[in-house]
Amino acid sequence: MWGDLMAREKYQTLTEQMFYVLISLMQERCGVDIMKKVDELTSGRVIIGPGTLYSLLDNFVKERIIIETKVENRKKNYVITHLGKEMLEKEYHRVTKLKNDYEMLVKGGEQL
Amino acid sequence: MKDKIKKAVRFRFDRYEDIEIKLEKLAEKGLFLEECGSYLWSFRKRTPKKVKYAITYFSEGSVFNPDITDNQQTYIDYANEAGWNFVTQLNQMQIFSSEIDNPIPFETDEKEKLANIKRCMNKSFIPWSIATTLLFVLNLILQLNIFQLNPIDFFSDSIRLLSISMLAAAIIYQVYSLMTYFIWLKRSDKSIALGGDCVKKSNVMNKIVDIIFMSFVFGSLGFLLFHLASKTSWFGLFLFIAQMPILTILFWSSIKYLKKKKASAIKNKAISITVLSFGTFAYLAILLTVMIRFGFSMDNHMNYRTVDWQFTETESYTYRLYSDEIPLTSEDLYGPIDYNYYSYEKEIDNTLFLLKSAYSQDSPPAKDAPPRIEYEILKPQFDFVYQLVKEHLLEIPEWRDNVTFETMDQNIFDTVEAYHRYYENTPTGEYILFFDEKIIILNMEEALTQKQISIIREKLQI
Repeated sequence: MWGDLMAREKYQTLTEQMFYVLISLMQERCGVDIMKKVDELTSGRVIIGPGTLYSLLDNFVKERIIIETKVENRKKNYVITHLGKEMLEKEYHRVTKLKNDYEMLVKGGEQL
Repeated sequence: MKDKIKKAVRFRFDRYEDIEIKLEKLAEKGLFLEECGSYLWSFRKRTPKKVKYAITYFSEGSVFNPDITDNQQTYIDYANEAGWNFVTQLNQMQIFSSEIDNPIPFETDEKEKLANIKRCMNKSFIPWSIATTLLFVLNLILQLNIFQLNPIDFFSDSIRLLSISMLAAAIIYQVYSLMTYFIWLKRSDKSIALGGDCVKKSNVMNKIVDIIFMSFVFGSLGFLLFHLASKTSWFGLFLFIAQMPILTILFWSSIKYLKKKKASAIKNKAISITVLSFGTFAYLAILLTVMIRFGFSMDNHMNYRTVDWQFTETESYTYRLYSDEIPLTSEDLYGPIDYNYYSYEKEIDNTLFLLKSAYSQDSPPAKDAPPRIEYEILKPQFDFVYQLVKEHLLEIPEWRDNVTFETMDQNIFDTVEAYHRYYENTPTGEYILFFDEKIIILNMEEALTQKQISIIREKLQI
């Protein structure tokens, strides 16, 4: 679909914050829980400001990377979509490629 | 002791850092923001302490919203979780504060932050700036139209010149604001692309421009009020000054009342703008009615008496008869005249461009009315003004093909150039006399005699 293509184009690489938001949405969560989960997953290394979190979730919903599942006590819950998972997978491959290249070219001492 | 105070805060929606710094400084002085309005912001006095403020923009925010929207509440919940407390809002601008030493920054992704600012500014700041600029430009064009119609009135009217310069300043400032915003946007985009943050906005140049603009606006307003105070009554001046606060109160009261009644944002916006429009027209109508009824016009004459002039058995009109000192009178030209209803009027308008002294001796309309005279002495301060005035005076509209200007002998009035107006080949009482540094326009009932010319030369010191 055109929207999915646009999303892929727009998010060719994910920032750490995007990456961890999507990871935390492998399970249905609300925004506040996402903040807590990201903090827990990264031991406080990656922080997401409230303004940034709101914008990210809003954009992800618009791009169909995540979907809104339910609203409980005015709290919106989200979960990752197939497109979101694909993007995570793509990011995983990109970062793995970086890791492998580093190991081979820097640590392995292969001739450049 | 009064612990709540209101302060006039000048701010620009797109300069969030300036506002944050200002609020933090005020908190250190013991003033904590409670509510913000278009001009006046409310603060509560408490023990001074360090408080961090964050200004953010929320695209759904609007003064017309009856309450905090669900999405906005979600936004506030996220902020609370990060240690930020919601303080107040003004349209899309949301203000949060935190007393924690190192709160989680409100925005941690500069790209998202810039995209959000851009989205909000596209919705409010930019359309509003463009609309007001266009309104100012339209107003300026209308004002400049007067210049085409009559450059003499244009150059001699200090209030018009002042309002034009204020409009021009407002246009320049609006364009400057938009330009600085777009430049900031471009620079921030570039900076983020290179891994940096949004560019800091507050700089010396902005502050200098703001100070110059505000000094000009307040200086001009001060001059305008001083001018009005000398030309109209204090009550008239009060009505003029009260216009803005009254209309602002009306507009905000309508918004607040409809919010209380939980009217939707669209309904509130439509009704409040309608109320403001009707209020503006009603206020102007009241102002004009009161001015006409009580007579405190922009007329600076003090020395006059009124006469009730009977036209027919049922119709009459009240005339003002002035008794100003004028250098040349009908009596000078025509000899003693036994008439009690003459009005001797003088009006001096002086601006940077032109000094216009207009004199007239007139009477209420009657079959046996005595001769009336009218003359103007113009002293242009610049050559281009002299040329424009000359061009205007000698201009004959195409449809007036029965009017001509005949050149006069320069020695008659000792002029550089002189013209006598003819109507259907008959000389009239209208003369335009050009001297080196002044222009005199004479408008008599009949063509002048040699003797009258000598009297005019003597009286007007030609």
